[in-house]
Amino acid sequence: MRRAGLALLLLLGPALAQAATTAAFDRAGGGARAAALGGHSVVLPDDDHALGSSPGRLVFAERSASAQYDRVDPDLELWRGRLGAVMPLGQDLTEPLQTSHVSRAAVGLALDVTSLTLIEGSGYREAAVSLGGGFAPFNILGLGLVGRYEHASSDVTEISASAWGVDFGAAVELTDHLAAAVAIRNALGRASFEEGDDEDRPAELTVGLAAGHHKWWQAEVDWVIRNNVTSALSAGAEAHVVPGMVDLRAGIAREQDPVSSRFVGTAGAGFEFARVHLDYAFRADPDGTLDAQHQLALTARF
Amino acid sequence: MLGFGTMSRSFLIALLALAFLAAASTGPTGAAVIGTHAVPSAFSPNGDGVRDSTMILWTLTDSAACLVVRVVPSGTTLPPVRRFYLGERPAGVDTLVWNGTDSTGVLLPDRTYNFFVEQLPASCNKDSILSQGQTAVLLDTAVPPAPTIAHGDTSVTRSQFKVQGVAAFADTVALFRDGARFDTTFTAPPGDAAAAYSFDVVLTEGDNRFSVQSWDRAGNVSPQSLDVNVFYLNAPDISGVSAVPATFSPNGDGRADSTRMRLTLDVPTTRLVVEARRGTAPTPGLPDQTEPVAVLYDGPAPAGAQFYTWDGTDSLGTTAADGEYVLVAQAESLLAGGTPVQGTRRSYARVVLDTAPPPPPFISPPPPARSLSSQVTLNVTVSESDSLRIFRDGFLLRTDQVDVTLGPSVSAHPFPLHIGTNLVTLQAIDLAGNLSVVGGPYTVVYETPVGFHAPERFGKGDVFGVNLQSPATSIVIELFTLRGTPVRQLTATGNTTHFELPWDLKDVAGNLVGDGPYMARLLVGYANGTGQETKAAIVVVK
Repeated sequence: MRRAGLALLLLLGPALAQAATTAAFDRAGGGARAAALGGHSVVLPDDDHALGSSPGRLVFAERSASAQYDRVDPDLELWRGRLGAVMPLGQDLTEPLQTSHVSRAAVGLALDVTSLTLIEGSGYREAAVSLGGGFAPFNILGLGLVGRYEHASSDVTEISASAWGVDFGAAVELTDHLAAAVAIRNALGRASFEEGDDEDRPAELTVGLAAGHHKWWQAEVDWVIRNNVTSALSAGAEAHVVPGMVDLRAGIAREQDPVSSRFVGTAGAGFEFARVHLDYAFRADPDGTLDAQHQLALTARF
Repeated sequence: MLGFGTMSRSFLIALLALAFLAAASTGPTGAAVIGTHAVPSAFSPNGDGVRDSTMILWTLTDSAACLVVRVVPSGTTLPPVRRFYLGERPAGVDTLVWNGTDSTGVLLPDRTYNFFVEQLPASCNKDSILSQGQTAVLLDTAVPPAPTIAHGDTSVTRSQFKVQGVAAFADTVALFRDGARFDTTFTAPPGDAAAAYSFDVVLTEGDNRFSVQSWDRAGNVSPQSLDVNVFYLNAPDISGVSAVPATFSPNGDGRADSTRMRLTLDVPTTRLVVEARRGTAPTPGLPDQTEPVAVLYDGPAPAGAQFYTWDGTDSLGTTAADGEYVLVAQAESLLAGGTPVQGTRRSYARVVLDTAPPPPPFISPPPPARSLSSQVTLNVTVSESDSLRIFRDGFLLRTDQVDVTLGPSVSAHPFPLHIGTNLVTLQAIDLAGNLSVVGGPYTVVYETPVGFHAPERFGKGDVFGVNLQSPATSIVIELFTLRGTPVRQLTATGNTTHFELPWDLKDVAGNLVGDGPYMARLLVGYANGTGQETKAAIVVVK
């Protein structure tokens, strides 16, 4: 019990930190599908995008590889790209009639790139390499850990930074149609700009609960805590319009900062052709200066 | 009913009897003697007119039918040496004067006597004392001996002096100066055989004759002591020694080419010697190991402030080597008898002779070749300097103070720019006034191109610049993280085409933001109600 308490303290320590945390390398994970479901989904990811949002879900992911492009803000030429893959390992723990698929272990790898143009026309880029693994002690529980190295550079020679981060996660299938997950992004990590201060990463704790594996729909609600206060509450639903072929998604998130809050609406669609998924998400955040964002992800499951 | 009436009457009678008794008890026999004391408590009935009698005072709370005062030697069981029958006395303060005699008029011997003020019944039966007050009085006719002064005739060279000695059995001592009463003090312990006294006096030049006389508590006055003469000779003292500038450079450049020693003499001296010596002032108690370099003055000097200049040359007129020196002043002293003796006490002022110019200053990192802000901050490295001259286009802009360090030190200096090419040059000055060679030049071009501008690597002190083709009335810059979280809003108003909005790198809650990229949304408002929106991004590195 004492060991468990110590572990929890270590996990939540960075989240409780109040000092200035770096603003670099801060991006939402989870892919286009998660973005369409409110942007904070940690229970419903079932492919390699779990590497970026919910390490505990890695053991529930099918073998897959994906490519993603986010058009965030054309005024700033701000875009993001991602390549990722996940590979289940070991024994298949899925029980007969179990609605989800679970492996004894899984490993994943991803490359994230962010690019934007600075005020005087110089380019600024961030790149991250993530490597993670998951483990299922039994068929309804997944534990995961992701390590990440990140680097930023610019055409302006004196802008350069490097960072590392570690994410933790756990996911559990509560019933055939009810699941939960918790993810701590940047539970550990530091970032430093050249000639700048060494700074903490902004730790983010997300707790999610989802109803899934229904024939016509799935839905999830999420609670995000950052710097010891609620930073977002989100909810999203997915309708299987043509089961196995076409999904329509919508979500809403209440994003909060220390002095204000705003609602961000999301929507999207998913298409599946012969185990190839095409997911699209649209995110409107006019109060957060990002009027319209488009995300497109292509995932192959094999 | 009848029985009850009989009982009531008996009860009423009893109550009346009690009231009568109570009224009787508050008559003359109810008075009390309080507050008995004597003034003075010690007296000397010797006919000298000083404290020849004492007065006993007491207060009666009510009139007394018979009051008797007994005088009994203290600490004995002897019968009273004097008894005063005062008879009936009214309420209030009452007194009795005693001249120290018994009932036959004979003066009683010196000692302490107790006074008992006794209230007796109307019969004056002394065995029935109703109330009593008591006080003690010292009868003392013994004259204290003449006080002594601890020293005989003496000569001193300091004006502060202490007259002290013993005034046996006295409480008060008076000091007489040149025959006139000058001061009074108490002795400690008072009345003791070793009662001591002390007077702090300021002597006048020449003879100061002191004598003392003492009093005891009973007012007996001692004989006055014989005069003791204290001769005060004011020998010259040097004070207020300094050298300005403490560091100088005798190189003929017109800046701190000499140093000047300042000192103050309290009286004239027949000989004052001022020297420049190489080395440092000795620690008190240790020998002076400085080496003579030049004599700046040797001769008589008047009282008051004196100034002696050293131009850095030795006795041969050659400029002395760089290093530490002391300017030393020594005034001839006089013995109390007026015999001159060579001065032994030296007063030192440290000076540093430095003719080496400091290293040239430089800016690191160099200032930006191009600035969109009307001001840049120069991070200047200087060594062995105390001030920095900053030139723009060859003209002195200003002189800034810098921390004096032997090694290189970096300090930030704001530098205002004019539109176009700005030529920055620097020159360091050390404490001795030596000028370094000119550092630089560095070139900064200040531009105000139309648009939204800022340093892409945005740090403390940086500003957002907004240059417009037509005048605007309001400028708002909203700052966000790349995830769209609002961070801060900066505003400016006016009616101009050029705005500069500084950001102190704090968020709306007043906390410093983290390093990293931020988005800035610029909202320009014009007088005709139209607006314009622009987005940009910067990277904060604190």
